[in-house]
This record gives sequence, structure tokens and C-alpha cells, in this order.
Amino acid sequence: MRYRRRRFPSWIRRTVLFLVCAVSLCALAGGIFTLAEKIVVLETGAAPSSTAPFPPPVSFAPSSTASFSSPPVSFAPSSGSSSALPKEVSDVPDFSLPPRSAPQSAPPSSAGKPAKNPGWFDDAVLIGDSRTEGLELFDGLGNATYLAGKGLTVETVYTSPIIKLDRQRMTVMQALKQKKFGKVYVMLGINELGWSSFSTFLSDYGKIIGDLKHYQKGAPIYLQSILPVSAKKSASGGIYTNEKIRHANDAIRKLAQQNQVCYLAVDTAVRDVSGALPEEASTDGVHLNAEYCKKWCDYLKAHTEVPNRK
Amino acid sequence: MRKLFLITAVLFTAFLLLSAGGCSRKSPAKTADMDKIADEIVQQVKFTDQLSAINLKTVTKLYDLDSNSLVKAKVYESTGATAEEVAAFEAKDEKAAEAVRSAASRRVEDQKAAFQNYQPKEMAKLKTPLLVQKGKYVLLVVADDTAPAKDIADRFLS
Repeated sequence: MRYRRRRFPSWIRRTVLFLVCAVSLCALAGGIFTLAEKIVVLETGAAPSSTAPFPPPVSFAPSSTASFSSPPVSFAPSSGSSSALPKEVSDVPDFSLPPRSAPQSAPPSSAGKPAKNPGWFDDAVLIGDSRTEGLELFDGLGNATYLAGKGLTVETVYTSPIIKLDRQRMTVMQALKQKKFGKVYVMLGINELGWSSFSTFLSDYGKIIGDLKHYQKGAPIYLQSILPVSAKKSASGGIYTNEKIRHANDAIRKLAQQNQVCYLAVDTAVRDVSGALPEEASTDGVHLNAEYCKKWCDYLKAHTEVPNRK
Repeated sequence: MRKLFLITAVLFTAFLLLSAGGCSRKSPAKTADMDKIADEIVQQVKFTDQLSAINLKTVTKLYDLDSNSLVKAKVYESTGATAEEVAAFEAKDEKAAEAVRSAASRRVEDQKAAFQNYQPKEMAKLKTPLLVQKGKYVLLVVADDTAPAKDIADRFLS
């Protein structure tokens, strides 16, 4: 028996056909739109959001040391020999500028007092403790290199491998043997305030100056004064008192004079009328915040001259 | 009539092929503003030290990173009195973010070594940092209590 197809009325068939076609066309248009959207995303480089689960916080086990120094700039200073410097260059030095070659771009974040010599610090190295580390964070000294570490002293300059240079750890002095700099800035002394022998501090500091002259031949050396602590910190009864700091700074100035290197009284840039670090400059009375690091930085930028031989 | 159904079937097949990939992602790629995350963390999380933003050049020096691997970085550093820190990175891609995450881990290890004899009480913060990576985003927070920072990160990055 032959199956006889049942036929719907023609208006129903036409309606169904129309609806099917309409839906198909809409769907096709939607698909093309989606594809076009994907192409646009690829062309503009918009990255997809990751669907990976949010990883949990990570905790770590202790390991090794650190501090940082930027790639060195190895050109010799255009002028200035440590042996030729005047005996003392203090707060208001009688500098006259020697000719310098090829000034480079000014440090990016240096506001306030304009730099006398843009690019001056590009071949400079700054040696110091945690306060110098702070200066590195908030400085405007261009491409200066920092050989600094927490708790650095005139002794640990030779013994603590706190410097990471070319992925190797070494002492500050080892780093200074490896790289040649155009200028050397040193600030040491606050961590030595508790030492029982002040003369040991001075003799060790003198040894550093001698080695700097040897390994950084021809580079002007600047001994920076120790920055003061806050009045509150000074009065707290610890080893960090502004009286001790003043005493140490007098000795450092004389040391600079004896060794014929420059002395920079950077403390004058950050102290208040009483000689203390203002309370608003620091949370612990010792380490400078960004604003006061900038004052320190501005002082250095304003004292960039190499003294003339006379 | 049969031809018409054939055409309809072809159209449906074409639609399915074209829309297969597109249906899996209905919205454009979501992006996170790491500047905002870092700013909000600095404002909302309790820090004992004063934190200040550092420039990108210093960030790349401090973390030993190639600046080409970064799209954006906002890093706040403490004065040195504490180990407190907020670092938010948007890397070029997920692979670069892995490298940034490793660099952040090294930074924490370096800080531990630096603080262990200098300010031993900071070690508690450094032992429990918040270090998260989601896609190309990396966040490091060193603070006494990083739970509020985790909430902010979840809100912005999830």
C-alpha cells in the first residue's frame, strides 16, 4: 500500500517557510557579526581576560641578600683629581665650574632647584646605608649608580656581600674594584654611632677614602655629612642623637680636609632650625620620606662642581 | 520545497560554524587598571610607614625587570623604616607576567635578607606577603594585614 503524503494548506506551508527563512537569515547575520567582532579584537590587540582561577597568596622561605646597582657608565671625569682638590669644601664652597663635555638629559623627577649640570650623576656612584637606599627610590639623579645597603658601615663596606652586580653578590669595595665611576659620593657613619671606638670609625673611613682614590682614580670624592635624626628620636635615649651626629660630622669634615676630598654638608638641606630632622620628614625619625629625599637630592644637584686647582 | 529545506539547512550550518567561537566569549576582554588597584590598596590598607610612588625606571631597577615586558607598573615604597610595599604590574602578556611574578618573589627574598638583621620585626610581614598573578596582572603587597588588599585584588581582577 502506497503511503500518501498528507499535505497542509498552502498558507500554512508558506508561513512556516517564511519563518524558517527569516530565522535562518537572522542567525546568519548574528554569526557574521560575531566573527567580525573577533577579527576586530585580534586587530586591536585587546587581550582576553584570563579564566584561570585566582591563585592563593604565596608565602616564602628566607634566602639571600640584596641591594641594587644600575648599569655603570664608565667614562672618566673630564676634570678633577682627588689629589688636586682643595682641603675643605663645605656648605658654601667657592666653586668655579670647569668645562664639561656633552651634558645629557636632565633627571626625570628633579623638580625645584634646577640641576647645574644635567647628566652630572650619570657616571656617579653613591655609597651608603639604608638612607642612601631611600634616596635611590625617590631620587632625581638620572642614571646614578647606588652601592647601598641597610646597616652598611665603614667596616661592612669590605665584608658584607650586599651588592648585586651582574647577578653576582659582592661587597661594596669589590663592586668598586670592578666598575669605574666618574664621581664618588659617600655617606656613612650613622650605624657606627654606637661603636665604642670613634677612632676606629675614623681610621676605617680613612682607609675607604684611600681605596676609593686607588680604585676610582681621578674621580672626585664627596663625603656627605650624616643626616640628623628627629628631635624625638634624638631624645629617646638611644645611640642616635643629634649631638653625636654633629660630633661625627665635625670629624668627617676634618677627615675630608686631611684626605683632600670634598665635604658636602647635606644635613643643612633637611634639618630644621634646631638642627634636627623635622618630624614630618620621617616615620621613624631616621629614614627620610620622598619629600625630604628630594631636598637631599636638590642639595646634591646644586653642588655638582669640581673645585678648580689653585 | 526540498530545495528550500536544503538551503535552510546550509544557512543553519553556516551560522553554527561562524558563531561557534564567538559564543564562547560574549563580552570583550576585561581589563584591570593596576594604577587604581595600587592606589586603593595604599588608601585602604593600614600601613605603619609612609608609602610613596616610585618612577618606572626605579621600578625596573628594583625588580630587575625589562621595561619592555611591562605595560604598566605602579609601585609604592616605604621610607626604608619598614618593608612595606605595594607593587601592581600589568605585563605584556601572561608569559611576561610569570617573569614579573618571579621577580616579585626575588624582591621579597632580597628584602628578607636585608631586614633580618636590621629590623627583625619586619620579617613577619615579609613571611606573609600577598603575591597574586591573574593572567597578565601581578600584585605584591607587604603589610601587617594583607586581607583587605586581597579583597581589593579579588574585586578588581576577578
